Amino acid sequence: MSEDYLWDKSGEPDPEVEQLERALGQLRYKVPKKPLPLPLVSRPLFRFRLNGMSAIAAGIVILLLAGGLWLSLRPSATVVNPGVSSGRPPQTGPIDLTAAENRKQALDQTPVKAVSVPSRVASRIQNPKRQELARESISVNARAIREQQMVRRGELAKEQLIKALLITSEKLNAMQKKIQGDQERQPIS
Amino acid sequence: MNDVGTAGTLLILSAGSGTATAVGPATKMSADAPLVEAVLGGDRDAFAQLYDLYGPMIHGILLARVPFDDVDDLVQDVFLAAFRRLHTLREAGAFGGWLAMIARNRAVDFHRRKHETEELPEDIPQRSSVDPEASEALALIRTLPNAYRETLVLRLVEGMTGPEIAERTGLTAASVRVNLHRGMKLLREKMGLEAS
Repeated sequence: MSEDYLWDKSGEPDPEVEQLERALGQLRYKVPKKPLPLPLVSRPLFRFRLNGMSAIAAGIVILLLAGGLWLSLRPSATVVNPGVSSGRPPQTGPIDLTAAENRKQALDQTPVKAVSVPSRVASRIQNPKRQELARESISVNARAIREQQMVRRGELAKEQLIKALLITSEKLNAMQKKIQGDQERQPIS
Repeated sequence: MNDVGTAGTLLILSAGSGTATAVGPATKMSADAPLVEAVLGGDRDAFAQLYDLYGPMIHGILLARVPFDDVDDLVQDVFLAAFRRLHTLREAGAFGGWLAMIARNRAVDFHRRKHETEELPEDIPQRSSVDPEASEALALIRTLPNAYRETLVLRLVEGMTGPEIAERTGLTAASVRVNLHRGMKLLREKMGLEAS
């Protein structure tokens, strides 16, 4: 009795196996004369698949990019956030981008409220010591204004960044649900 | 007991029946991957090629589980289901194993629905066109555990060799070999008992 014949039909034929092959051969698959009537299935234009690991990796990359963006937009001056110092609670919930744009425009049009000594006035001051004090005052006031503007711009950038992170988070959640749905539907092969 | 082999195969040993089911890594089964990708790209002729390639395997898997008269219709059902769900297949190289699983599930559904509608006696004679010797041999094979009967039908009815069975079903050659020899041994015993 040859074990090889049963395995790959090589070697000495096994008479018992041969007999079974002859008897059962008539039940063998016959190629159908008619082609398989395939239904019209609408296919997606492109297939976008993410498995669990790549989804996590993509999320990390997005967070890193967002963090880098936030660091680059953050004002470098170590000034106290006026919103925090004034006791105003930080903004939570969805942020209206149009409102942020409006605030930005208003910021550009806001007149400078700080009391400053105009340079022409300073030039009229005859006393050199007073003249120097006036110049210093102008310089300090200008710096304070710049810092205030930077703080406001930083806040706007921060709001936009939070909005972007919220959108990214929602997209990742939706992707994860889709992946889990696919895994449940697909039989284990 | 599950064990992960050195070549990345998952070996599942069933203590009760003694059958071996080892699934090879999908990367080794990438011969039909281009055809699967072509079907996903909208090439319907490529699916006809897959139908020709895998028709005997699906026929054998179903024949090991459902009555002969119902097999041809179920083969078509399996391929239609595969065509509709092909976009859910993650690895094109694992098409054979995926398709085999659809066929096994379809056979289970067939029995469930049949059970829900009507219950037929076991001793109903099969189609008259089938040779009684073939019917008897097939009935004996169907008494064997699932893994043995499927492998034996693919070998003895469909005429596939052991390596072909392994390649098409996604099982490892070692587990197919084990199932073939143990199944044949059991079949011989049953045939001897029947003869005596």
